[in-house]
Amino acid sequence: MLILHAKASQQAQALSAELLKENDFLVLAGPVGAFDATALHPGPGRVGGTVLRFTHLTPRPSAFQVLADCACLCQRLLAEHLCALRYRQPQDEQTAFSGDAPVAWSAQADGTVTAFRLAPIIASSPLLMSLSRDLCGRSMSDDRRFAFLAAAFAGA
Amino acid sequence: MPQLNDIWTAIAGRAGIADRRPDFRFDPAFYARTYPEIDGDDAALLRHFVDCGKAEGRNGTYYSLLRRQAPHIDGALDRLVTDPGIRAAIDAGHPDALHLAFEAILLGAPVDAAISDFSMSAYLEWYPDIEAAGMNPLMHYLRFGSVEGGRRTLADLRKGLHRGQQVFRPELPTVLICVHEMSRTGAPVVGRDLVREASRTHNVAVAALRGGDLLDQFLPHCCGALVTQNPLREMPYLNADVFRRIDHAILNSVECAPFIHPLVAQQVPFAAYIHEYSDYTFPSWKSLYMAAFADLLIFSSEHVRDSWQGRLADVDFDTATDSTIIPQHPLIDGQVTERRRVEARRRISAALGRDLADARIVCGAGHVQWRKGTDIFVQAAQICADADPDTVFVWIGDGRNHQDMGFGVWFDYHLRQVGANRPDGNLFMLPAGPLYLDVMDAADSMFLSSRLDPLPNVVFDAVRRGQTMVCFDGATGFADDRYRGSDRITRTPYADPAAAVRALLALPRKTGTPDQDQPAADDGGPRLFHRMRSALHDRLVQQRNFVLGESRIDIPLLFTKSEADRPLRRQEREKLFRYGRRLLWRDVDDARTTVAASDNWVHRRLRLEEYRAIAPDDAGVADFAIHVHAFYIDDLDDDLRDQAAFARASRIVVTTDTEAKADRIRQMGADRGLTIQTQLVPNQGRDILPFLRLFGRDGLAGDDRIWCHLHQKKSVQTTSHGDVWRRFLHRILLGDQDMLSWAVCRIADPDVGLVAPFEPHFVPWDDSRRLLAGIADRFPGPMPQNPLLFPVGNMFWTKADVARQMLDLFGEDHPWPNEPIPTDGTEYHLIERLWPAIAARMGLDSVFLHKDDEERV
Repeated sequence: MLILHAKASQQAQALSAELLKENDFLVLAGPVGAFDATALHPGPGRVGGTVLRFTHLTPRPSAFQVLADCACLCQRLLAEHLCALRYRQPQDEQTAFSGDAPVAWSAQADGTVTAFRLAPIIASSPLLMSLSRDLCGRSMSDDRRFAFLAAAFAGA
Repeated sequence: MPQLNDIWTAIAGRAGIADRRPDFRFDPAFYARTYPEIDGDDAALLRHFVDCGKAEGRNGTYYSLLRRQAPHIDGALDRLVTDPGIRAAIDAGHPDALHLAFEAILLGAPVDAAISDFSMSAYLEWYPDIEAAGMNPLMHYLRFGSVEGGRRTLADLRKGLHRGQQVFRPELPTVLICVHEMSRTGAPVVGRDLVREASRTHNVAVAALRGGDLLDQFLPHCCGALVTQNPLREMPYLNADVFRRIDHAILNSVECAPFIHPLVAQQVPFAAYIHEYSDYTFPSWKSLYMAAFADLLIFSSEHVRDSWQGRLADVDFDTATDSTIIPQHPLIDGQVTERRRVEARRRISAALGRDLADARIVCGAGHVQWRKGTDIFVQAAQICADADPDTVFVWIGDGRNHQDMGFGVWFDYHLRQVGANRPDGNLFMLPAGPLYLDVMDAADSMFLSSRLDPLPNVVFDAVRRGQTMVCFDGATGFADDRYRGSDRITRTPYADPAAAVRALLALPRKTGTPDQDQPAADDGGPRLFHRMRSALHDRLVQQRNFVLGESRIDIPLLFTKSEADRPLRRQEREKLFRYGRRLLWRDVDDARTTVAASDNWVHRRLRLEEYRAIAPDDAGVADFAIHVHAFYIDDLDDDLRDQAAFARASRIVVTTDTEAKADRIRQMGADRGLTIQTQLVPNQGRDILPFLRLFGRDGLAGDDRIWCHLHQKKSVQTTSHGDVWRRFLHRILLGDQDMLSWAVCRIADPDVGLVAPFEPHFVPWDDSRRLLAGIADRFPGPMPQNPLLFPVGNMFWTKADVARQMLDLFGEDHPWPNEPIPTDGTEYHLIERLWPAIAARMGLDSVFLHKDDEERV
């Protein structure tokens, strides 16, 4: 599952249909209309299919917040499909994470996370929803949240 | 018995205050607050209290102070304590035990609820008046609430929580099954069966709005059963694991609607099992909110779902994806053994005093009432008496009451007139009870005489026990296509007892099977709970659209408008918008986009514009008249004062119902330098008929071309919200003391036939939908699925020609209904929604003005 996160006022440009071939599911997360130009978003009321839409009515700048949303809203889907969960912003290239760490992420100096990847075992874990929700409620940078998340699953 | 100091140390440790309050007998924070003239840190305050404060009569704790003021608090405090250690100390007469109890409860959550039947936060939440008054909840309860009565505590909540016989197992999923009551009636019996089945694979919590005889049959299969009339406020304070870890829920009946609130608040997905027709589900918010917030609606029959189509359309519910049909039981064609049939007839004969060994027995079953058509059953017996005297009609069910004016009085008289229960008669009435299965085994056929009956369990019983069944087309789910293949079910024209009798007499008699035959087995397919759970799971997994965050229009639906409920309001809207359902517009752009996307001929004439103010002497302001219907006149004077538009109007016409009111109204106008023309009208047609009649024969409208219609909105539902709404409408239509609304200019546009405020609620046809067929041929195109925009509240600007056409739609001589009228679904409610259609029929636009800064609720 790939999450594409368009932040406030961003308008995602045409996305390659290859994305749908490369991923079991595509999550388009962003403000109203952010993906209108991509022709990939599901219509209102659509059920089933491989494209999910998270419409943000209020800005959600944090990658970890989007992860927590996804863990909560897609819990059943992730549990059934046992797939990796990846995140990036539409304009960015796919980050190639080195190694096979179950929780990998890239962060900027200010702690903002720009990409992450969770291994299938983590993405499908029933603990992910409560852990991510709990970490979201804490005042810290996304970088630290991911560090805690990785540590928690390493401990588990 | 543990020492009080040890108990306190443990409690204070748990609350994280052990260092600051080593002794419950002294509270430095209280001491500093109560005696601000004493300075110093905690140690200095304690020294002061020990050295001199105590001797001076100062109080070291809140308990000491309160106890001195109101010694009676000890009795109520004693009754609250549940902690075994403190309880033992109290029972042993330890002089400080109640002091400790009070100070511990005062610490609040989680200590209070753990050691007592009192929760500080629950008391404040349940009684906002206490919070508004800034009173300490424990003090209030002990000093006043416990004496006055009527104030619930956790003790009352816990009395409603019944321990189930199943142990909570964390490794299992947990389901909450809600029933509206625990009586031995249809839906609760289905609920009990659901619980029984669910307990094989789940932890089961049960919740009901009312208790009943069936409670004992729930408890063996669940971990706990809660009876509460206020689930939203009380469920959060349950400390049982099974109520804290709910994964999903099933609301077994639309009457369980009060459980929607806590489920949305706790983000628990749920399916609602709907057995009830919308025709008799009132108030309508129950069906509306069920359709708006359920993740899945499961109907017991297609016929029931059909009855909901209007309600579902009202919230833009997607029936294809968000609903399904699952009957509560499979229909199993069974038989009874001959020995059993004969024995059952012998027992019924003994009870009724008539030999039924060879009679054709037609049975009916259920609560005696109009809906079940028990009176039609009696008429069928009367009709059959001549056609076949050997056919006997037996009804089994409770509800007979010769003192009930609604049905019982008339039914009882009817029974006496036709000689019911006489040994030589052909009609007998039996109370519900042990003879039920005998009736089912003995009867040849069941006559389902119901006017509306979803899928009554008694039919499943009857067919399983070898009976045939006759029902009315259009009266029950048993007339659904899925049952058309069954030779056990015969349908006859609606509410025609003669046709039913003919059908009954044409059916073969029941014969028993040899004794060695096995009774009918289950069909072996998945049971009800399993099917419901699978359907809910499948629906949740299929969801692809999610809406997150706070939408611009923030108007309470399930929760209150308080700041504390803001996150809950956000959640309710997130859920609503996720499924594309509507009770509110998300924001004005949402409304604009939806209107633009519609190709309906009425919608194409809707315009949504921003409000603006204009000066009263603006050149664009044409002559206009104002009509006010003032059945209530309390606020009229303020309106005349607060809106400059009245002074600018060329005419003001006020309709009212008495000369005394008319006198006062004219005087109000005169006092403000306004000439008000009054007209007396009967109290008929709410505000709108007096307005329309201005444009009829001998009406007062005259040559005035532009009209603003207002009324002094007051109804049974009028509250402070109503006042806010009235101000909202008046401000947008008229403006304020100094300026006029842009509406005055827009209505003067030759292309515009109506101007009204934009309403943030998504208001559907509601019960007016039932009247649409009657007017459909008067319009050039089909009416839309929902009106989207109309002058909600029935205040607007329009042109005289539009008003005349509206009156013509019905005709001046229409038999308008008199008061009292229903709260929805009359011609008057339809007219409110039809203004844009009338304007569109005339080729005119309807303009809706959005004023962002005007409070609506």
